[in-house]
Amino acid sequence: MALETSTTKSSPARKTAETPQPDAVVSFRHVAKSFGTKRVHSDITFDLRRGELLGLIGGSGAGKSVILRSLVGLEKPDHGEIFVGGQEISKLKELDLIEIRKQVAYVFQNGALFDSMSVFDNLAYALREHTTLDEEVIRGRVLGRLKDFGLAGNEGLFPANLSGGMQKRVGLARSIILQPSVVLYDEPTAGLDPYNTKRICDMMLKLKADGASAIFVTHDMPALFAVADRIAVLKNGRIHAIGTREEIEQQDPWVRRFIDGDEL
Amino acid sequence: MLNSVTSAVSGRILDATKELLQTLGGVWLLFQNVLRDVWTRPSYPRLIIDQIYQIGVRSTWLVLITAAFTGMVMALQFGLGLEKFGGKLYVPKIVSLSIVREIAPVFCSLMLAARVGAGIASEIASMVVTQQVDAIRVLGTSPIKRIVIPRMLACLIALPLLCMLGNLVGIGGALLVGVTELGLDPLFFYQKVIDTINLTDLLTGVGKTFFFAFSISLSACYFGLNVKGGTQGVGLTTTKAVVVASMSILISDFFLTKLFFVLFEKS
Repeated sequence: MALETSTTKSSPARKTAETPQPDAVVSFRHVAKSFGTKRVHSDITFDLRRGELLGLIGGSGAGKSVILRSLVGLEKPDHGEIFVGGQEISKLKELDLIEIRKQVAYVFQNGALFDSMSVFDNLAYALREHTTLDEEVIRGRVLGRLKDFGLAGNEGLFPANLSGGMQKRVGLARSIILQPSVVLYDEPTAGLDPYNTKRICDMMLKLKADGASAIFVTHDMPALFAVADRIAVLKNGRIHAIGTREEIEQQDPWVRRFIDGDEL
Repeated sequence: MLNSVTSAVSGRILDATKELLQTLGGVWLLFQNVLRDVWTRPSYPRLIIDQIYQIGVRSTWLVLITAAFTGMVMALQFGLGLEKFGGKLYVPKIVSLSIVREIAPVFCSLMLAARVGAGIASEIASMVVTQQVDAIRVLGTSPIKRIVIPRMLACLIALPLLCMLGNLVGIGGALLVGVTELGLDPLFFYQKVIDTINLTDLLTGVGKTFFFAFSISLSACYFGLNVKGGTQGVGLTTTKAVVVASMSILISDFFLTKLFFVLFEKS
């Protein structure tokens, strides 16, 4: 099951990869993407299964974040198809992407909080935009979510007054306020101390237990091994290997060396 | 040697032309998106009101001081200049007409381009750099609706009002200098201003500011949204937005003056 890609055009393995698997909530099929003359993705094909937390690793600049950005329509692939919940999204227009974006949450590396809004308003943003809930219900839901994330009492603060770890937790809380079915984590533990890293990991596991599928882009190997069901390794614009830690390390010695930090 | 210089120059001209066309195309696309989205729900009246405060109310003192001192300087210059030819009595007529038709609309717009154009461009560029614009999109909302349209509408509402205020204060400044420095009778000054300025003068002057407001906000939003190169890019973007807005005000002023002249003066 490991090394599911890196197949040639004529191989049967490629044919089976053409259609998304029945239990896949997200599927990439032969996605290619270049920025100017720099080719980031040559042929990305993989599935994210329902309820799965898939780790995505690779060298810096390998295009991990571009995969996440493509999944919410922030980047358009040059070729290939991206399926979310069975719907092909790569050619959707901005207005049509709104429904997809309600289902797929994106947790930015630095939180990307709206600095002109308080913590409360940051969390209430999506609820006010996409629901008809009255302000009292929104208040209750936001305060409840802040409590879940250990942020109770901080609702009146502005992002500039928060520590890095708090900003990331607020960013995570904001992303999932609409209870999405897929969560995309873009290095959520980067730059955090072990305590805050553990808190973020615990939250990721809690969301997984609640049924959310997720892709977790990271360079933080201990956090990755703590939460990921499977790991995909991105190399040379392709998914070089995918499977459990044991599977990918057994299939290719380079993967083990990459994980151990001995080779890029 | 000559060949290499020629090719370098032609290469630069080609690059500059390409960049200009890219910018014009980008601004046109942004304008199309604004036209498409401005009529659709959701709309954000609170954001528009907030921007009117930020753009209009907070620029009031800047515009008042600029208009007052410009009116005062014009009255002084014309008064002292025309006194030699016995034409001091024409000061109210010349100054008020200049202020209403040209000085107030152009100076208020240039002040706004400097203050508000720079503010909008740098704010949006910072939001792009810190991924806040991406966050707006990812949370299923439109940066055009939440960022661009409120700022454009606020500029379109605030600038004409500021211009009207500038007209009053500019003429007031001229009156002050006319009375204190040139020894003109205040009632005479007032009567000449009322006799000279007609509705067409007022409307053509204020009318220009709609175009200027449009170019200030559109260029600031465009350059802000298309920032490249992190925090260093924010500074460059701000400069570009102010330069482009100021140039477009001065250039379009000529064509608008000509247009209004053809439309209103000849008939």
